[in-house]
Amino acid sequence: MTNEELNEKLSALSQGDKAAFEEIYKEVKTSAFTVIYRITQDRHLSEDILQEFFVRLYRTPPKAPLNNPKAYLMRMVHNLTVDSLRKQPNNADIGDYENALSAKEEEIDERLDLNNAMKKLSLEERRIVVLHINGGLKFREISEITEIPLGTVLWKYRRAILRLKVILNGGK
Amino acid sequence: MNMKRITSVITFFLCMSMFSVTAFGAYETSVAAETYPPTTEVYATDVYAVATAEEIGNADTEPYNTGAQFETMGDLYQHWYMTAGTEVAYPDYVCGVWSVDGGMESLMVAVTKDEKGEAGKEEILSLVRNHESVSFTYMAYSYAELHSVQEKVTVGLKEMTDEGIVSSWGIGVQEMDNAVVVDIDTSSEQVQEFMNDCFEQYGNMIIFNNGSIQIMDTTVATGVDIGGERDGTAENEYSILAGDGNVGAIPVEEGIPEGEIGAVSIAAEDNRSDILIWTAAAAVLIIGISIGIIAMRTSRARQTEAGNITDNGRLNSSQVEAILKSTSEEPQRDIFGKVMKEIEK
Repeated sequence: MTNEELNEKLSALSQGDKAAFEEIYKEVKTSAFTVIYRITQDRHLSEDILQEFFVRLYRTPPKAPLNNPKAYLMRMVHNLTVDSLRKQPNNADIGDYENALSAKEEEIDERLDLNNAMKKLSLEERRIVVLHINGGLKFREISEITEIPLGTVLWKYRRAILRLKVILNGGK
Repeated sequence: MNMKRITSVITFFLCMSMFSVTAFGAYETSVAAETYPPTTEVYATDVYAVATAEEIGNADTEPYNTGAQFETMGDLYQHWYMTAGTEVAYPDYVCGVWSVDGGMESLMVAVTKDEKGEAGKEEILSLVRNHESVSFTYMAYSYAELHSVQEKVTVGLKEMTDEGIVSSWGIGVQEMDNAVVVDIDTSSEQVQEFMNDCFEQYGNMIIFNNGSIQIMDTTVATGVDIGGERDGTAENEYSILAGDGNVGAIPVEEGIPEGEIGAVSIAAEDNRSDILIWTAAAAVLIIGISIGIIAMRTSRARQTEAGNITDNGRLNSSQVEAILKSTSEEPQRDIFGKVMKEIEK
């Protein structure tokens, strides 16, 4: 679905069109859930957040047309995810931007396992990586959403990719 | 890490060390071949030691600081390089040094436009006897500051190379531009993002060259002239290759308007050391690089979770990004049904 088509669906949604809502759900569900899950690393919580996201989207749809409706929806997804994580007990990751990977490092399994690899990134690194790769957001947009300086976003992104490379290569 | 890889890495670093030692030996030889106007006194270990009028002989040329240690600015410049303990040979108030006459007889020294630069100017004049051998201009950034920027930017360039975004680039402090200059293909989006990031962090301390096109942040002016000595253009001025010990004239293209200095051609150098030493150094370097490449490419195959054997077990950063993009997660529950139930409450 192109941005124009998505804008049309959002416009129809604001009129209460449930068919348009279902089409939006089918279009956005996978990327939204991927972003949520890769940030939270908790499937049950991620499904709750996804449900909450679509309920909110239906009840308060954005005013179309948007410049980049996909990016707008990913921002909503991200913000909802971060808010939900804050409400969780044991939210030590929130605000802990230098989550000590070295303190949690265990012996690396040699098999390729993307989810295990993602778990070894800090929360901030996961946010930046999934928003860029799975959410399709530019670094400048990520910098605005996360309120992290652009240079830091770029640096953390590269560092995260390098860490994933090391982990997926068996820690070598 | 297996023994074969460890051995390859150790051998690579040994070759690099041998290259450094051999190259240093060649450098020492080439520097020793340089000749400068002989002076009569012996340099003391204290850099501020003062020679008497009798020792330096003819002291009736004006302006002439008879008490200074170095005959010309060229001598002081050479002293800086001979005694530098780090990659930055200049004092921290110096922005750059270049030749005005194509040789070493008349040098332009750019100093920072602040109290430190003013004090540095006075210090240089106190160290040099023949004041006609030196002229001054002001610039915004010291060579040390620019070198620090160069080191930071190099980290990012190396990362982009590792990720396969770029394959070649060049970087260096361009003293006459008072900036770090990066030569790189700027056509890709990632490089443009990197470029914008550098401009945000470093402003006009950095310039990007894409072939003949120069890209810079022009929001802040640099290079305020103190008047008289330099009119701000680069015509008929020459720069000295800094940092590698090779000293010589680099002609700037004539007729280029101010602010649009193009690529500077580098002239071949004279007074080189023995060709055999450099050939040996190059051979050692090539052997070392070859060993490193062979070690990297002969990694053992890996087995994926599905049992597939990959012929090259090492993923690069682009492949990691591709994996992240091509894989996705799906919710297991019927989310849409629950959403509709919630909406219709």
